[in-house]
Amino acid sequence: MDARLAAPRARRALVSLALAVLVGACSATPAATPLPSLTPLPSAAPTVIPSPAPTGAPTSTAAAAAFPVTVTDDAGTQVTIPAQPTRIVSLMPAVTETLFALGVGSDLVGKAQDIFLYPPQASAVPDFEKFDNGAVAVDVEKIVAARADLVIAGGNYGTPADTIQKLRDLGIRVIVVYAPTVAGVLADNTLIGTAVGRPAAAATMNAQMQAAFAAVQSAVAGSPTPKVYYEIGEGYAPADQSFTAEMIADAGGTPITSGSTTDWSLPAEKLIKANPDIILLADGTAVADAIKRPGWSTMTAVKNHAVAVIDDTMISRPGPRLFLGLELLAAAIHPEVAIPQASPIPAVP
Amino acid sequence: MSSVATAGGAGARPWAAVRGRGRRFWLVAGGTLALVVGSILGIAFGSVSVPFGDTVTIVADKLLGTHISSADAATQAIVWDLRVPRVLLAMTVGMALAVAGATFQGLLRNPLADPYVLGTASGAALGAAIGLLIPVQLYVLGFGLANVLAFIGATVSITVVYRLARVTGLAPLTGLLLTGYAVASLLAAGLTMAMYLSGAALRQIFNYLLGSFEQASWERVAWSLPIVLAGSILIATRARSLNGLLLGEQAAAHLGVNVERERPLLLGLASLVTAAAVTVSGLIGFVGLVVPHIVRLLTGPNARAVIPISALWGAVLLVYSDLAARIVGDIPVGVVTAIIGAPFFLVLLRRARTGYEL
Amino acid sequence: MTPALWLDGVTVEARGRAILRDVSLRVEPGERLALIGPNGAGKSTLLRVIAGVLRPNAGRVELGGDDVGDLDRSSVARRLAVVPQQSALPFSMRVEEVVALGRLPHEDALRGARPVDRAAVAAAIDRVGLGGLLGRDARELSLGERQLVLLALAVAQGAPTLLLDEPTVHLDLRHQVEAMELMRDLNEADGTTLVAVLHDLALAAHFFPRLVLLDHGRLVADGTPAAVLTDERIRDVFGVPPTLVRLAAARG
Repeated sequence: MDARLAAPRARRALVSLALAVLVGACSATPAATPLPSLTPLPSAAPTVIPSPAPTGAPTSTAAAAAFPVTVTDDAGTQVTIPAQPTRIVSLMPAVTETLFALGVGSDLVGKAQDIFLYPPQASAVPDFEKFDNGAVAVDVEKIVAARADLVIAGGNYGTPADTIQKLRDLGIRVIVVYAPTVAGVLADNTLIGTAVGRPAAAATMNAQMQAAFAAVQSAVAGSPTPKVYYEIGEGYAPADQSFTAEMIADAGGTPITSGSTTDWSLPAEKLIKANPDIILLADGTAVADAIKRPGWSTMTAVKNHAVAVIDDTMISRPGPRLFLGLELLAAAIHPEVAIPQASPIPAVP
Repeated sequence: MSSVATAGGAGARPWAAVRGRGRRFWLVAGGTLALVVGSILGIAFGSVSVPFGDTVTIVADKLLGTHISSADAATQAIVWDLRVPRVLLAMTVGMALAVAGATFQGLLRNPLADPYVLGTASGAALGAAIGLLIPVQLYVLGFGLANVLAFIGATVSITVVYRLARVTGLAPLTGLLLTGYAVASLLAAGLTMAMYLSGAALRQIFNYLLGSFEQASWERVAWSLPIVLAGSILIATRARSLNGLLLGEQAAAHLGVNVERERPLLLGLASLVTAAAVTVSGLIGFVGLVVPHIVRLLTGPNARAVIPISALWGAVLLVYSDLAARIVGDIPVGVVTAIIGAPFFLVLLRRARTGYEL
Repeated sequence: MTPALWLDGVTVEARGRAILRDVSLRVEPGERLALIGPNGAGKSTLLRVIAGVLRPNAGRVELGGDDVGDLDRSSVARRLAVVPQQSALPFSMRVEEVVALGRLPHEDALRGARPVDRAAVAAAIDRVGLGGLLGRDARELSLGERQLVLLALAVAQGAPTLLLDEPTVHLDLRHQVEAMELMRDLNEADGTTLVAVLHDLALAAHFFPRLVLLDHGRLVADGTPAAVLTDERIRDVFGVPPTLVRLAAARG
């Protein structure tokens, strides 16, 4: 983007974003996680609460922000980015999606392997990280050889901590993103947007996401909230206050959680006792196999044939398609309600 | 019951000093009582608290066809579909492992032998790991692909060990032990590779390796109990051969044991029983090693006593271990048996004043 | 009279080598003989052939008139008791439990020891003089005592013929002599046919009226000690000066 033309637009973006902050700060919903603080111009803290009031952010993609910029990543590390990155490596599939949606997909030189690859254009980007079912192997040599000027890694063991350290020791710029809540996703969009010089695009994305969230939430607002068991694995349920639990709540359900904020296990006895109204199998188990499990036949969901398979990808991936995941969840939980289908954020603007 | 040596007693009646006559009775009676109590506790306790009265009425209803219980369907399912099969499965696996352990110890004349010594464990573990990695969904009789492959892995590995051992020029027992070790090492390497590639499935593989009764169901009981019972009974009827083998295969042959027939037969039965156990519950250690030892200390090495009493107390140990595992918080039962078994084993080693001579 | 043991032209080959060549031997019931010869002569192999655990490549083996190949292992065990070389006990066993194993060939598969079995065990323990060791762990006994336990086991087996494989190895002289005297007693008082593999020529010559000498798989001499242990033969087969053997025999 042309840096000279960017300045006036950037200031307008700043003002509207500042307004959005004020509006957001007055709303009732508490943020679940502390905000990542973003220092100086031209970026500012966005709304972190999916509030009902849509922000007034401009929809045009903003011009590149002025560099150098220092950001604080989700691990609390301050990272200075001297110039607009042109050789970006994404070590999380969600980040890949976000980068493409922000319009910098062509600057990606390496990405994380993703079996649910999105967008299709990402297939042209080589895999610098193998991501088999959760085991992460980052090819540091390839990152170095590609002369990456920005690596975006996943926090909370998304990318191994020692890999991040090794990259930093080699002088490579790494920012760590980790979103344990929906608000965190929006904050990360801003963080990433700032880091790659697309703050306005990030703001637009956030606005669209918030609007979509709000639409879904109001659509299901009047309906009763059924008890939902979201199975991410046999014997497991979303932890209290976890991302998935929040999504289920936003979709108009009462999530059955594990009873702990750190432990995701839920013994079969407790599940049967909790008696969910709806069961969503997000781990690939077939309905016919799940309902045969001992004791399941007594649960309301099974008796009412309210057991369904659901694709977990968009529901758990903290990227630009998150609200599509919410729509999917809401449709599964409230089939009787017409869930507004917001238009997807273009994968590549 | 006197069992102490009377020095200078050429006139002493030797058979009055038979070890374990009275002891055997108490072991059986005590074991049965312990099993009953353990079963009741196991059915009464779980992660959801069910009033004891409800537990009793639910079980009574199911067994006697009455309708006295006022518990709701969920509670009934918890007691009858989750807990009862779990206790029964623990009994089954405990019996299987203890009997197999006693048999392998006798067959291989090695007090350190356990049911997994000839590669059964490694074969089962590798099979289960592969089953957990392959993205194929299979659900048959309450078993997933991991269980099916575990069974296949166990039986294939013991067969391979047995066949390979025959080709070595070594004495049969030595050959078996060494081949078992070699094959187990190879399979363990395969397992490590599988675990390395597994990622999130690693947790499931670990759960399998440590053993658990979390997936207990009536179907699993129905599948495993007949195999284990039949196998154990058959082994018990061959107690005479096992006794003959106490002094070695040569001596056994001289005492009239058809070693060439009994060895593969006993090996096969013990392996089958072990394979059934590891299929339904994963690898649970120490039961097969420690229970036969303790029984032998109390009753002597006569297999006619050791096999059935080990079966009984193996069941007892696992029922209580599973209960403890649930009370502590759904930790794998293999951890509990290790915590119980390892100190016991150390005590045993201390008491064994004469070591195992080669 | 049907011989207790009869071997005719027994040949055993392994890996291209002949371990036993054309061995013929006839033992009448009640006889007592020692099988002697240098190491590698084939003594233990011959024992295994007699016991029916090793099938010869040629020749015939009969126990009490029946071909040993036709007999099942239990039948063999009732006719022939073998006292093997001592092996380790993996488990702690009481003396009486070890001796009780001798009754295995007679036991019912399912019901186990009967009163007659228990009586036989008691009798065997008395006969061998082990009364003082009752209740002791067999693993804690001295080698000499353990040898007696194995002997009692064989006695409990109640077979008319007893085969002993180097029963005095590892024993000190006193225990060697005790064991020999016991064997002589079993043979002379009870009429048990006794074949013992011995490496100690002096003991063999002193306690056994008949010696069978094996050398390189062949039976080279069979007769009284004087007839078998000639100077020439001692020199040829054992490679030692004959005077050594004479001296030892004279002292014994």
